[in-house]
Amino acid sequence: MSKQANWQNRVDIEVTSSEKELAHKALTEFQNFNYVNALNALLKLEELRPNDVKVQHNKAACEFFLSGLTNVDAFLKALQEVIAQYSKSQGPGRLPEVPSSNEPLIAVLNLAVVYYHQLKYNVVIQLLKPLYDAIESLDEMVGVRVCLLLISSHIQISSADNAQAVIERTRTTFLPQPLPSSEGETVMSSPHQPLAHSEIGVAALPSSPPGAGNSSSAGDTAGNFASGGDGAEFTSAEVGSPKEACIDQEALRRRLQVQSVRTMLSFCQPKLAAKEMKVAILQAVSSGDQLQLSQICLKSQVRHMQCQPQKALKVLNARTAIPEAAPLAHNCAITRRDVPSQDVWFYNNLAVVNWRSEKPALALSHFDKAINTFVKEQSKKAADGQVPSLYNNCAKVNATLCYNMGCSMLHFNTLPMVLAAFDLFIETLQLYPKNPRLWLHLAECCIAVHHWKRKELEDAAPAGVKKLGNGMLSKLLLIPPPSRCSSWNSCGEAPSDSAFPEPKLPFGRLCLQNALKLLPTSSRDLDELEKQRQLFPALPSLPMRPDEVRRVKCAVLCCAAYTDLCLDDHQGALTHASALISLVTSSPATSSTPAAIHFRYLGHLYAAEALVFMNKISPAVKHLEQGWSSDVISSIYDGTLLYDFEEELLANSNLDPHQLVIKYNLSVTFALREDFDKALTSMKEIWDNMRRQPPRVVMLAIYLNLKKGHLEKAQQLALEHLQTVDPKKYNASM
Amino acid sequence: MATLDSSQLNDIIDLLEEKYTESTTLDEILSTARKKFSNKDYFKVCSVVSILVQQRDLIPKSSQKLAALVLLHQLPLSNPAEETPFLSQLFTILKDGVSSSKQLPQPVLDEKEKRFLHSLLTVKNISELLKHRATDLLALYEKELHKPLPSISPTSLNQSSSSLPTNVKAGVSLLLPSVQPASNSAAECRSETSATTRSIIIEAGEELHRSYMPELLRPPPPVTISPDELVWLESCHQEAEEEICYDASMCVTSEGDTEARRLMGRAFKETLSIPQLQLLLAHLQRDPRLVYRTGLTPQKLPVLVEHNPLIAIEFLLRVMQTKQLTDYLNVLVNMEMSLHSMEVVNRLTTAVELPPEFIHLYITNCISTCGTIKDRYMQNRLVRLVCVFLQSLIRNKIINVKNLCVEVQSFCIEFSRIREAAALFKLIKQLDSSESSSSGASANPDTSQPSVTCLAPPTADSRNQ
Repeated sequence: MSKQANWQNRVDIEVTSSEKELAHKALTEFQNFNYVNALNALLKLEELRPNDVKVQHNKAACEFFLSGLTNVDAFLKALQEVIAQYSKSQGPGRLPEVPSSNEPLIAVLNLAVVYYHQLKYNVVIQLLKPLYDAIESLDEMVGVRVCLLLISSHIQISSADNAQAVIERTRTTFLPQPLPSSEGETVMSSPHQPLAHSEIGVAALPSSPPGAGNSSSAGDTAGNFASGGDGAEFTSAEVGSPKEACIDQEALRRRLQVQSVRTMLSFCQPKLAAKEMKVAILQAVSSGDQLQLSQICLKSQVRHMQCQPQKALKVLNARTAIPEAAPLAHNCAITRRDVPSQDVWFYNNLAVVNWRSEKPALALSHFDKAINTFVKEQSKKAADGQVPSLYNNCAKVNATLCYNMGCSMLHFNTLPMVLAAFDLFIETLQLYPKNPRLWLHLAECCIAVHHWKRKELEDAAPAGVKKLGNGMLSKLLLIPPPSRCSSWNSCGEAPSDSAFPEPKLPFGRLCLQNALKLLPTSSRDLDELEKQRQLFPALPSLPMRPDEVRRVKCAVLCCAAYTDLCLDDHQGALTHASALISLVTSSPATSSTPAAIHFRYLGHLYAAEALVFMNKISPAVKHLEQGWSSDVISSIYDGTLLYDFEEELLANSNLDPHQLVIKYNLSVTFALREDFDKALTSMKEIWDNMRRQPPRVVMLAIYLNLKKGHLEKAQQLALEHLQTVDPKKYNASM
Repeated sequence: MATLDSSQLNDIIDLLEEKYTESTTLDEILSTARKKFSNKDYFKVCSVVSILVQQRDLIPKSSQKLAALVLLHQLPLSNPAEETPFLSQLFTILKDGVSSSKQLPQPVLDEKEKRFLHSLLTVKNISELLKHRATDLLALYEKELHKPLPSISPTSLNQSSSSLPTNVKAGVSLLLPSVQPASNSAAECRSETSATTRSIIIEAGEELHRSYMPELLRPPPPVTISPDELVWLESCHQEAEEEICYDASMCVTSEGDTEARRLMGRAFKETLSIPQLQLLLAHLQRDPRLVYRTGLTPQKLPVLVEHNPLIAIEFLLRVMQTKQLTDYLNVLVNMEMSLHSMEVVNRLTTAVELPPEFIHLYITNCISTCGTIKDRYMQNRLVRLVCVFLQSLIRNKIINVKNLCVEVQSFCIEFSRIREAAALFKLIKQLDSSESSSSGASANPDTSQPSVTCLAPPTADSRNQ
């Protein structure tokens, strides 16, 4: 308390003219990027005013710039000290509720900026909340910065509602408008209505004299981005001109317009975003600004979100028309962000558009280009000994590129692709561990790897029949397709509880558990989400719509049931499969989509198998009979990969493979119930509909005949329909 | 599970060689087997032996079968109290005479062999049984063939197989007899049989241990990437608010601020002189945000209103847009009623639209304050003020008098001795009558009569005197 009082006294002490001179010198030097000179001036000033926190803050800022914005830790520490000296509370930079002009607000703001670049958006929001609550009482420049930083942070964490609210309040607080009616507070407008624009230019802010407010904070032109630009506002305050502390309202208006475009995109409202974008571009053009790359990028994104890939590509390609900014001197270049470089974002976005236009191969190659360019740039910087500055945090770009590349590789679903995708997803996970869809993809990778390894095993030992012995005593040795028990060990899926991220089923199971924890638990929560049309965050992607959340949940349950079956956890498999079936059927609106039908089909299939393993044959048959309904035939789900046997069935039969799978499983289940006649009937239906019988079907037929005691028929089937394996060759291959 | 190598398989065939089994006691065969194989291999050995038993033509002779049965029954056991894992299979063979898989049309065992198996499963003193050679035992059973085979309790027969899950007992052996079953009648091809058995067993290798049971198909879940899942990268544009900035307010004390703070400090204590007032208002005009920096809080508002209502009005107009407005209005409503506070409220109402509840609350407070004042002089003054204030509000159409009709009228009647109260009453009456005449002239043509809602008019002038 005494320290604070002391400090308060210090500030009130008249500033001597020599101190003023030093402060002015430091500011000028800083604005001219002469950080050494500025620091010297500040050091002298510090001797005269040892307790002035603003001097301490500026000294820290100078040192930080001098380090090329790399010595983040030291700067953070200095900022926290400055704030702690003032603030009574011990929290991270919390300020008293009503800030006064003496407070080191710039220090708090800078702290928030540091956290912002460190991607700690929630911390930024917490830190700025007290300032935002008292936004009217802040200096206008600080207030605008607080608002804009808050908006950006909210957008970054897909919290569009809040971003929208801050945008509205910023408009009512800082942009000219008629005096408000009794409602002092901003009411959040619904995302489904276009933003209510403040009546532009109807009335001037009561205080701002006509013609005032064209200061240099536009931040738009290349030469004007340096942070010193704000200093100019404060110097003018010192002079006491009537323009003091007035922001450039046009620039703010445009900035808010752009931010509201991004908010609309976060709301998954591309139409509204397009409207806003149009206004934003018109305003930029009417104010004589050059179109910028960022606007092109954003406009293209809007087009892309509107499902207009051609237009999006056209806008993207317009980037070549923008002249490149002139190279800057080193000490001034450090204050500029250059990640992602133009090539990186261009190729990435090109790929995203191609992906949307269902050209996955092209998308993959563009993603590859984007990643290669990015890696090359980073390694070149490292070779030049450049440490990435605060502004150039590569983590997010890297994670985004990894995620995109991983998704497009997983889509192709071949063993090498899936293995690579797994590594990419693991890298993305470092930054976005709260994305359920990312966990799902990891599990999908594990399942795919398991599947392809098993497939390799099956291909290495094809089914067939081997003749043994000779003459009087000869035998037929059947070689069935490898059973799951044997392939389980060979695929290296030995049960382990290790959480070590490797593309194996036990890790996949862990991923699915995480995904389930992150998704809404009950069906009621999902309904609520749908009713309120709430979006579900899925960073780094845009948030998911409720129907997508439901689909992801179905996919997670489906994968979980499958993984449990593969890992011999039959009870778990049954639980997950039953949950899947009830989730799919719970929502009448979505239960008839191809995805839902496919999930229901798989759910019944998995539940039946789990029940068979639990020796509950009758309920298993029931599930299989339910699993087949006529709507399956019409919907071979787009995303479905037809795996081996199904593919074989499809190639050889006139019937829907899903139906054949159900019939096959029914036949097997009947056989296990020792109801061999029914089993034979089901099997015959498959047999008659196939042009060429796959080994599995032949083996089933042999099995049923053996069980029925028809030895000769079985022998005949084996010799006629199974590939004869040369015993020697077979042994060599073993 | 590693399988037996070919030399071990050869050893098994050697043990079950026709000549050897005919000439050796079963005991000896068992002990040789125990010598040849290590403990951990017993199970594997027995699985091979079990396949040989089931494929009846691979060990065609009865002596071979007896030896095989003994191995199945005894080899895996380390002490006599245990049960062999192959017990259920032995029971099944005994029951049906065929292997569980029905792969063979003929029974696995003939009558004599069955009798041996029966004794093996039932006899208490097995070591006694095993002292004999297979051939001797077979000769013994030959004589007993006419006797019926004593039955084994059916429960032990059933439990042997029913305890296994369906999907476990469903397996079939992968080894099928060839199309033409070999006849085992030709004694001359005995050595050939043995060699063929050997080759079949060794060639089949690992597959001997496997059985086949159909598995349900398990299509993997689909892999789906949503169309809007891939992430758009924003360009590297840097906005001003995302940059570290320099605190340019260092060592800058705005003169305006200091001066304004000094004046405000005074304004809380005393009424400012006209030049001081003008200076402060000029500062405020220049920087509207100055209001927040001069130390005005809702708690300090009453003193400011009392000393400098003009400044209070200006300041309140500046905080109009903020969330704090309600706090200020609350203080204003609840402060002691005075000329100044009324002046402030009056000015406020003409400048901006205040929440109607606020105005009503304020009026109610004014009226009740008037009633509670004891000092007659002060009371008269206040009543006059309130009346003028209300008239002003009504004339400016800031309040709708209908909402306060009863309250205001009773106030007028209570203070009808005061001229202003009477005037106010007249005003209300006029308003009321003009309204009723415009809306319901036909219903109530006599406009000089008070309307139903109004009380009888007092004779203000006479009372006032």
